[in-house]
Formats: sequence, structure tokens, C-alpha cells
Amino acid sequence: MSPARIVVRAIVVSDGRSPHLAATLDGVLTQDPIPDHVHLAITSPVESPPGGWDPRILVEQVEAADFGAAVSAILDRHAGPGSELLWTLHDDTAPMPGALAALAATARKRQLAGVVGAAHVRWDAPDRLLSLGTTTTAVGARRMAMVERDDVDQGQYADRDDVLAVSVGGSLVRRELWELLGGLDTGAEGWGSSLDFCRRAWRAGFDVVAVPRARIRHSQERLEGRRGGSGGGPRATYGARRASEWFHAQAFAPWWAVPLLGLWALASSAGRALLRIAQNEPRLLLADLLVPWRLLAAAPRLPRARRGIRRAGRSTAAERRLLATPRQVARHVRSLEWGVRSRRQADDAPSDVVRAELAAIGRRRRLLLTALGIALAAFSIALHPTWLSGLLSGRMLAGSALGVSDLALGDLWDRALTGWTDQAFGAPAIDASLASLLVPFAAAPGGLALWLGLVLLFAPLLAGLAAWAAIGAVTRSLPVRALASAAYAVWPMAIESAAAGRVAAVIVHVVAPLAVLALVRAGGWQRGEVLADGSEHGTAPRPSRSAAAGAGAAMAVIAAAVPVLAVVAVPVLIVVGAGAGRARWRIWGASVPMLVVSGAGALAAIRSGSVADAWAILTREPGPSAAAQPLSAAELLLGGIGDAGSVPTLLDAAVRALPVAILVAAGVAAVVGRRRLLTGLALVTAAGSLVLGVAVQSVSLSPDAGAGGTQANGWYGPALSAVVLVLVVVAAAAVSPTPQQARDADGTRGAVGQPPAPARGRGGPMRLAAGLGVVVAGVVVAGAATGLAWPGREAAGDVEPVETDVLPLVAALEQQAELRQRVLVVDETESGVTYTVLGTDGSEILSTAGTLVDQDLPAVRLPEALPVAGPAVLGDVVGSLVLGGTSDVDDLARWGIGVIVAAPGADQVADVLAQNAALRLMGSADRGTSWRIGAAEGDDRVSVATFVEEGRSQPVPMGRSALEWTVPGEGTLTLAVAYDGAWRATVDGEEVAGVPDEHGRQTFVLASGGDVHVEYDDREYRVWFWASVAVVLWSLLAAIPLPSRRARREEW
Amino acid sequence: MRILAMVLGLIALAGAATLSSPSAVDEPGSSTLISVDPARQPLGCPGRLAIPVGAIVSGDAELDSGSTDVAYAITPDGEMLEGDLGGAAVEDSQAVAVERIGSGDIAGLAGLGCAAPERDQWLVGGSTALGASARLVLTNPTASAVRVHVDIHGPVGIADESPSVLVGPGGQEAILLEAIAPDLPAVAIHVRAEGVGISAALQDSRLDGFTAAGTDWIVAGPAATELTVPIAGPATASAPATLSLLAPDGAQASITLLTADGTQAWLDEDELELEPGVLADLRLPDVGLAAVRIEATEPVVAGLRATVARESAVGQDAVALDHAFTAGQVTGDVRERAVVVPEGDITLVAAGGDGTLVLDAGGETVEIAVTADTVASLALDFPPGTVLASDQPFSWALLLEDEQAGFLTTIEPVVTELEAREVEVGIGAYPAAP
Repeated sequence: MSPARIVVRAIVVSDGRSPHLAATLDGVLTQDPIPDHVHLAITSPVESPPGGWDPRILVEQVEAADFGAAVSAILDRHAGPGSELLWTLHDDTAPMPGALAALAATARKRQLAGVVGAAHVRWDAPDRLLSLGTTTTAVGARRMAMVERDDVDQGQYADRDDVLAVSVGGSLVRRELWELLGGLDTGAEGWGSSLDFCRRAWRAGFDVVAVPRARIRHSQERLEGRRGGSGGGPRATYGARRASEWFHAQAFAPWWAVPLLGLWALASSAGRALLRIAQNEPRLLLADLLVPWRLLAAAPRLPRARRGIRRAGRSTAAERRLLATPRQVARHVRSLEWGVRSRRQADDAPSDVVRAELAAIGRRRRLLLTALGIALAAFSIALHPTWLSGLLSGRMLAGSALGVSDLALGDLWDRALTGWTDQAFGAPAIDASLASLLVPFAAAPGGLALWLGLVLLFAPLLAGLAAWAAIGAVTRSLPVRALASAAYAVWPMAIESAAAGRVAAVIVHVVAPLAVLALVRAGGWQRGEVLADGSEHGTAPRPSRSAAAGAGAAMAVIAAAVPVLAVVAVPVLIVVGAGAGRARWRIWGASVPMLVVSGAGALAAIRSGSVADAWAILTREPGPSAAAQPLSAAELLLGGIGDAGSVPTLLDAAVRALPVAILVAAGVAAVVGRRRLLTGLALVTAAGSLVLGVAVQSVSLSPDAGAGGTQANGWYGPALSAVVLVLVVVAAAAVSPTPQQARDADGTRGAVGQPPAPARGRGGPMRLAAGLGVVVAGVVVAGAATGLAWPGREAAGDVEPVETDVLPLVAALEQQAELRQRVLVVDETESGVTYTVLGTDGSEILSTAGTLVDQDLPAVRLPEALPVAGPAVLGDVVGSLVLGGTSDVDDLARWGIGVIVAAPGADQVADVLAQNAALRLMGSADRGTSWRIGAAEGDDRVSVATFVEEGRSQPVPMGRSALEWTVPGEGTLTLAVAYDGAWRATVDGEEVAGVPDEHGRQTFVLASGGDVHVEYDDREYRVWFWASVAVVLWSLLAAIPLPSRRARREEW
Repeated sequence: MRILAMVLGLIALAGAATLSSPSAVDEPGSSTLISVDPARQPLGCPGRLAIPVGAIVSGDAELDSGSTDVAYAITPDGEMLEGDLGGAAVEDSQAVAVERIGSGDIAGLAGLGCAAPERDQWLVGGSTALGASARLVLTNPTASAVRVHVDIHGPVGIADESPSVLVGPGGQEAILLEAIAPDLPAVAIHVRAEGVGISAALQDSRLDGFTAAGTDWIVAGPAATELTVPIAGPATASAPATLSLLAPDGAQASITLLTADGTQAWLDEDELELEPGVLADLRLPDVGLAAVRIEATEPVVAGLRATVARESAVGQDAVALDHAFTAGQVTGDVRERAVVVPEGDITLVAAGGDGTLVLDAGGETVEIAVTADTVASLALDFPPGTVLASDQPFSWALLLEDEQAGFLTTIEPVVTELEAREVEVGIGAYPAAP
């Protein structure tokens, strides 16, 4: 079988699109020995070089779609013995001197070698390896190069011989093998065809051998996408390559595993898609999402590929031995990741001196941060000494504005998903607002009561830490950073927000600094540590995609909590983006999540048709709201600090001095600071927020207790949080530590910040003034914190920990029964009585607020909205009941109220209700005395859903926003909820139109019996909801600072 | 450019800081005033008179505290309440209870119009001094338990102890005030009840040695700036009449004695200074049938004790008394009031108006002319059970006398109109602020 002399037929295939053809041909012709035949197979017209083709080259035009077909076409034209060696070359693979000799020597030595492959090296750097053998896993869905890309060839692979596969390009292939296998399989569009061919070679009884000494320069025109593609680099071809890997797996798998692999590919594509989002690789994300579809498109070619494999033979032990083990795969992935990391580290490796200096600064920073954290935690607990123990003992925070805070996850999710708020008699919501933000808290162990309580309790700590992070991006002066964060954390208005249970305002106060941090990093404007020589460490911070996504997520949260802040935030993003240079699209893109989250509200505002309604919708408060004394802008800037109670005068003065100190610091910083343009923009932002803070106060908000309930006015807290944040950032940004201090970086001496620019020129006096300023500010902040937490200080709100069970058990059970009932609670106040209609155990304001505009019109249904019915319609009945009148309790039963509870302490009410013959006592307990309206069971039981058939009424089981029941016959189904067009009913699949009855309830007139299905189905809401969820989750995922190893260096 | 941006920023912030506060938004729907006609509750009649502590049973009718000559009637009949006090709940808008005890420590006539439950009421009169007993009877004719707080006001203000009792549905409680606040020559009782309220009546019984010095029921009277006590006499040296006045929040009051012939000079000073919560006792001059008009700067409550003397059964020199308490009525009250005619000799006494008082008497009418500043009387002869009713702006009452025995009592009409009650009803979160 082995002739004395080996005949080598070199076949160079070109489509004329590689600039390296000439170099390739030159490489072939300069081999020693030169191949016996040199063919140039041209698949599309190629201009001959100026001096004409070398006469040694046989230039032939062939009709072939790919490399394999072109080679086969040449072989068809030129017969030869089976022992002939084919040297198949692309037009971008130039053999280096000695390559053919090395290959031929191995081919001669290894009689069974069907494919003898060369080492591929970089075209421009021949000492860097690209490929030296390829392998794959047992499944086959991961193709792995057996060298690390760009590894320096130091002979470390010199002993490599048998491999699973080599690149056919540049390899010597025995002609008999080529003809036996029918050439390359093109099922996967050429990608992976070498692996496929080599594996088939193994199965056909041939060996595949790599020859490290034979080196071929490879410019990877196709991989880089330069061959007729967009030139977009490996990213451009990623999708096709990934699909080819799955195709390969399917081709080599047993027949029954083919569909399973398809499903696996689908799951893998989804998983990788999430990874791509985190890596901010939108292009790869799309490619990964398309992989299953590419695979599907390649399916018709699969049988042919499988036939080819079957023809080649059965899998052999030799082939299996060369497949990658899981351990190899893990090592491969790890080396890829470490490669990225070490390249990044190498990129900005500081010197040892600098490293020591940074470590010292880091030690001081951590020390200060720990101290600040402990101080703020102590401050948070001191503000509300009863909260922590209450929360840890399983109680929940509750207040007149906050309502109860132990909302069930299911209710919260249903509210977020459907848009039907359970506020009193129900109302359609504009968006999911707080409900969606609170779902993660409710889902965590301990539930919403614990986590929301902890957020409210530790709001100053959280805000302080967030501010620390944000301010760290604009100044590296530790004392200034700590002071500014502390000042932001103890901002009196935010403390009032937490004490009164204004959850939305607290969320904004905590999240806004993170938005600023993310925005600064997204633009690459963060400051580096100042080193001893006066230079900044990391002087050229790079704009971060992850930070931009984080800014988007933070802004979306802010817009969900307090929608009106988008009015300021969007223009700020537009202006900041315009000045961000290359990062502009990222900054502008950060507004997308906020715009999507605000979309439904903005649309409702536009549709409302009146300026007043539109403004009311924009300024709605999704969180609990409460009335507040309107304040002027100046009063707001001064913190809106009310009566102190019994606080020592000095401490009270410190509290009142805190806002003044912030203003003065910001003013001075604006004048002496360096970044004037940014400062100007920041101040305009502050002014805009302040105007917003003043303006919202005159807005009447949606009544938290439902239609007809008490309305509050807009709360200025969130707008002022924005103002204060901007002011402390402006103040802090003007200060940077001087190199001298950095030299004392042993942590024993506190550094004193100062404005750097003047310091250089004028030295001493300015430093002294700045130092004095910091000391004064420190005293003010500490004094203010002490004054705010002083035990004698008047409470800023009425939130307190209470038991999570609010209603008497007998009443609460009726709310959860299958035939669900509402509970009317009547309580006594100094001036009269108050009442509440409850569908759950306590007033759930967190998930329900902010849905109505003036005259109880649902905002989202404007302009043709019908007023929703609310508890106000029961005012007369309740008044009559508590006065011992003889009014009809049917008015209550009509709205599904089956239980009346006299609150604990409402003895007069209880005494009067006890006289009422229409009520039956259910029980008297610590949590109130309960009476039943109607019967406990049977047709006379009150229920939120009733069916009336020929005058006979019967209760119907109903969930929160849906109902499934079998209707006995013709009749009217009435839901004790306010009418809304989005309630849909079907009887045996046929839609029935809903109509309001004379009381404003939702009814369906059913013409026949059957299986009835009723649900609240607001499609437009759901579209916005899912869009918001998707965009926020995307942003959150993308905000994970996970670098892509495919990212270009400048993008790390 | 950069400096300009910074300056613009500063100007913008300073400009925004000049914005004034917007006007406060009114909060519609915060609360509404609801007015309701309450359900009519049964009237509560206190039951039988009780002999104060220290009853003597000797077998001698003249020395015994008790008596065998007792007549007690409630018209119309009511449902007897639980307990041994003998009270009744009457399902009607007016009822009268009269008890005549012929001999013993509490000999006399005692009558009252049974009262509907009230949440807040003043009973003026009574004494806890030596020889006097004040027994407060709380009657709950309703179906729910009611907690009742009792404040006792005397000539030196409110007493230290304020008892509080729970009266069960259809139950009664009696409180001997001398056990709580002894040695008060005159008292006014402020009864506050939760829920639907309580019917309160105070039995005042006095003993002068072994001689009965009068027994009667004291009923609640209104607090108002203008009051008229329609029956304030006759008064003589041996059978005096006393006016008790109390202003819960203090007041200046002027008092006029109205006789059949017009006003009669009485007090030296024009204005009487009433300290908050302090009871003032004024003895009336000798006068025949009379009425008292009170005009005050702040609401006052008033009650008048009139006595009638008779020969004592014990000794020749001794004089026995019977007394009758009449509460003040709001001058010019036009609410529908009614009284049930009891058995016995009755006289209609009217004052406090100018014109003709027309009473409906079960289809017939009774007319009595009253000129300004006078008191008018008219003997009536109607069968027991007849309802006298009027809504005209006069103060009037029935005087029930047993001249032969020397007993008397007064029966004041009760308001039969159901007063609309008002309450501020608001929608609020629950639980409210802890």
C-alpha cells in the first residue's frame, strides 16, 4: 500500500475574496519539496496577478458551493492513485517553510494516517497558536480547540500526535479516504466539517494525526466574518458556529437522541441568552436565540450527514478515547475565563508601590465604611426603638397611611399580574407600581412584613450606604465621602417618609444614589484614587455597559415608585447622554426601562384629555399617601422640619442647620469646583426637582381607601431626596484628597479634604478653611442625627409594629372562605366613627394605591370612564347603624359585606350594633366584636358573587379576580366589585357582555346555564406589565458586571 | 460656557427656591355628617321605692320603716325586668309609674315618667347628708349590656369617687350614693352611658328623726342656657322649696320666680355666679304655686324640690313632709312631649310661655292660658292612662296630690320625638394608628 514515493497534490481553493491568496500560493510553491501538482480551484472569477499565474499552478475554474465540493471537483478532473496525498488549502492559509516536509514525513511514517494536520498559527504573529487539533465532548455539542488561542508556541505541544480532529485546511488527506467518505459534509454550512470528516476518518479505520512542527499561517477570514460578511469579527459567525456544534451532536447521536438534543439546544439557547444579557452582548444574545432555529433549518440536511457517518463505520475505541472528558471541558472553560481575567489584570497592573498605597487607602476606606455603617444602623434603630424587636418577634409595621404590611405573595402577584386592585370595591390600575416592586420581598422567607419593615427601619442605613457608593464615584476624599453620605442618610424628610410609612418615597431615597452611581460609571466619569505622586489611579476609567444597565434598572424602580420623577430624569439623561461621547447610546438607553415602566401611565395621561387629569396621573403616588401641610420651596430646602417636641435646643438647632449646611456646601462647591458644566446641569436638575416638589403638593391624590375615601395631597419627599442627593454630590465632587494626605496612608491620621485647584496655588489658608468646613459639617451632621433620634422628639409618623392578625379570626375566616365575604370594620374616633371595607386582613394600601383621579374615575379608563363605586356609598348605612337607626343591612350585603366588626375600644358602636336585630353576633374577641349579616350558609349567605335566578339568589364562589362555576340556568351573575369593561365572562366558551347595575356593580346577564368563567382580563395592562417586567429584569441581569470574553479590549 | 452653565444652575436653583407654597387642597370625602332617626328603645321604669339602710321592723305600724299601705302602678303595663328591683321596660313612647306608700319612713307619693335610655344625662336633686338617702337606679331596657359612669357633684364640686357599673341587657343596678359620697346636703348626678344609653332615676328619701321627710323620684333634665322649672312651690317656712343649679362649665345665671300674678322679687343680686361643676342650692321665698325661670350664659341644669307638710304620726309637734322634685325644662321647647295621666288628683301646671297651651288628651284637647312671666294651673279629670301630649313652647308638668294624706309628686312629660342623632362618618384605614 505504501509506494516508495509519495505523490502530493496541493489544492488551493479560493473564492477570490481573500487578500491572502498570493501569499498562500507563494507559501505552497516555496515548499521543499514542492508538491507534485498544485491546483488553484477558483469558485468565482479571480483576477490573475499582474505577471500572470505561476506556470506551476494549474488554475481551474470549478462550480462548487464550498471548499469540499471544490476539492472533489478537482479530484474528479484529475485521476490519481488512492495513496496520493491531497494537500487541501484555503486561500487564507499560507504554509510556512517546511510545513509540507513535516506533514509528508508523518504521513509516510504513519501508514494509517488518513488525515495529517498542521498547527495553525496567527497570520500576523506566527509564534501564536490558533489551533492544533480539535476535539469534542461525548455529546458533541461543544467543539474545543486543543490549544489556548494565542498561546505562544514554545514547543509545549511537540509530542502531540493522535487527535480526534484537525482542520482539513492545510492537512494532508489520503485521496482514498477522501473518496471513501465522499468529501466534506456541508450540512452545517461548512462549520465543523473538519471535525465531522476526521471523526468519520477514525470510524473508517484511519488515524488523524497532528503535526506540531508543520505550521500554517491562518488569517481566519471566514471566522472573522471578513469573507463577504460584515467583518464583524468572531461575533458575526458565532450563531452559525454554535448551531453547527449542535448539528454535529445530532449527526453523531443515536436516532432517538436527536429530538432530545433539539430540546437541549433550545434550553441551552435560553440559558446562554440570559448570560448574554448579563454580559451586555446583544448581538450574541440574538445569535444564541437564533441557534435553535438555525438548527431547525439545517434539519433537512441531517439525514444525509447521518448516512455519511453510518457509511464510514461504527464508532471505534480509538475515536472515543480522543473525545473530551468532562474534566477536560471544565479545564478548557476555566482556562478561557482565567485567560480573560489575567488579560484584564495585566492590562492595568499597578506597580508594587502603587499597590501598597491602594491597599492602605482601601484599609482606611473599609474602616470608615464600617464605622459609618455601624453609626447609621445605630441611628436607624434609635429612631424607632420598638421596630426591630417588633419585626423580629413576627409583628408587622402598620400605620394609618401605610395600612398593613403583611400582604400575601399570592394577592400581591395577582394584583401585579391582572391590574385589578382590591382597593375597597376594586378598581382598574394603570400599572403594577409598588406591587411588582414588593413581590420579591413577599417571596423571601419571612414575607413582606419582615423585609419591608426592615427596609423602612434601616432606610437611613441603606440610604447612607447607597450614598457612600455614589459619592465614592465623584470624590475619593474619605471624610467628605463619609460626611456627605451621612448627611444624605439623616435627611429629615426621608426619615419622616419612613416614619409615616411612605414606602415609595423611602424606595426613591435609597435607590436614587445607586442611579447616580450607575450613571457616573456608565459614562466613565468616576474618579480614581489619588496617589502619592498626585496622579489618579486608573486615570482613564472606561464607560461601563453594565453600569448603564444598572442605571436603567435603578431609574425604572424610581419611576415605578414615584412616576413623576421621570419628568426630571428623562431630560437629565438626554442631556447627560449628549455629553457622553461614545457612551451616549448607553446613557440614552438607560432611560428605556424607565420609559417602559412609565409607559402605561404616560399613555393614560395623554389619553385622559384634560391637563388636570394628565397631571394627576403623572403625579400619582403608587405608595401610601397622607395629607401634608403645603410648604414653600424655601421651606422645603430647609428640610420642612416641624415641631421638635422636647429636644435640647442645641440639638434641634443642629437638625435645622443640616439643610443649611448642605446648601452652603453645595453653593461653595459650585463656585470653586472644577466640573462646572456638570455642576450646572446638576443644579438645574435640583431646581427642576424642587419645582416638582412644590408642584405636587397641590395635587389631590387617589384615595388610598378606595373610591370616595379620604384624599391626600402629593408628597414632596421624593423630589427633595433628589434635590439633596444632587446637592451632596455637587458638594462632594468638588473635593479630592491631596497627595500629601495619601502619603499618610497608614490610617492613623484622618485626612482632610479640600478643593484641589485653589489648594495648589494658595496653600495654607484654603486648606485650613476646608478643614474647618469639614469639622463644622461633621459636628452639624452628628448633632442633627442625635437630635433626630432624641427620645423626646415628636414622632414624625404613626407607623408602629402590630400583630399581623388584625381582624377577629371569625371575620378573617369569612374573607378566605370559598364563598368569600368582605368585612366592614367600624372604629370610633374623637370626632365620630371611621369605617373600612376589607377584602383581606387589614387595609392593603401598598398594592392598591394610586388608581383613581378626581371624582373617582379610574385613571386608566379616561376619558370615557365611569366613576367606580367605593365605600363612600356606605356612609349613610354605617352612620345609621352606629346611631341605632333601622337602616337596611342589604346595602352592605350588596357589596359582599358579610361581617361587621366593631373595632376594639369602639364600645359605643358595639353596644349599638348589639341592638340591631338584623345582625347576629359571631363572637367577641380582643380584636373586636363581629356580627354576621345574612346566614352563615345556604342561599342567604352573603358573598362577593351572587347568582339570581328567577328571583332566587344564591352565593357563588369567587377568587380575587376570577370565578369558575356551573350556572344552573338563565339568570344574572353579579360580582360585588365596581364595574369595569375588562371583566370578561364566558358561558361554555361563549362570551357574555358585562354591564353595570344601578349600584355600579359588575353584572353578567346569562341567557343559559353552563360552565361560566369570569376573569379580569385587561390585555393592555398585561402587555405593559410584561414589557416592564422584561425590561427591568433585563436591566438587572445586564447590570451584573460580567465581562464577555469575546469583548474587545477597549470594552472591558 | 462652563462658568455660564454653573451660574445658570445656581440661578435656576435660587429661582426655584422662591416658589411659594401652593394652597392646601381640600380633602373631599374625608368625612360626612350623618343624621339618623334612631330605633325607638323601650322606656325604663325604675321599679319600686326602697327603704334606705336601717329599716326597722317592730310590728308597730307607726314605728315601722315599712308600710303595708302601698300602691304601685305602671301605666301602660310593661315587661318586668330581671332582678329584684321591680323595674319594667315599656314598649311605648310614654309611660308613668306612681307609687303611694301610706306610712313608714318613705311614706309619700313618688311618680315619674319612665325615661328612654340616654347616653348623657343630669339628675339634679337629692342629698347624701345624715337622714337622707340618694339611691340611683339604672335601668337598661335594651338588649345589650351598657357600661355606665356616674359622677356625683356636690356643693364643693365633683366627688372623688365616680362609680362605674355594667348593666346587663334588661337589667337594673341600684347605687346608694351616700355610700360613695356621704354628707353632701345636695347633689347633682351626671350619668354617662355607652352605646344606646341608660334610663336613670334617683330615689331621694329623707327622714327627720323618726318622721318621714319625703320621698320622690328625680328624673333627668336637660342642660340649657334657658330653663324653666314649671312647678316650684308652694313654699312656706315649714315646707320649704329649694332650687338646685349646676353649670357643668360654669356660668352666670339670673333667676326669676314666676307666680300666678307675675314675677316676684327674690334674690338680691341680679346675677348668680355658678362655678364649674359646683352645685348651688337656693331656698325659695314663701310663695304659692310658682315656677322658676333661669337664664344663664352657659348651659345649666336645674332641679327643684318642693315640699308639703303634714302632721307627723309620731308626735304632736313634729311635722312630716313629702316632697316632689321637678327638673328644669328648656324654655320654649317645641319638641313633642307627652305624659300619661296617673290615678289621683292631678293639676296641670304650665309656665315659660305666653299664650294658650293646647294639649291633646286622647282625642280631646285641653287648653290652658299662660301669660308671660306667670304660672298657670288647671285641675284635670281624665281617666288614668290618658296621654297628654303637646309640642308647644311651654314648660309644663303634672302635679299629683293626695291632699288628704299630705302627699305630692310631680310628673314631667317625656320627649316622645325621636331625636335625630348625628355622627361624623369617615373612611379610614384599619388598623388605624396604633
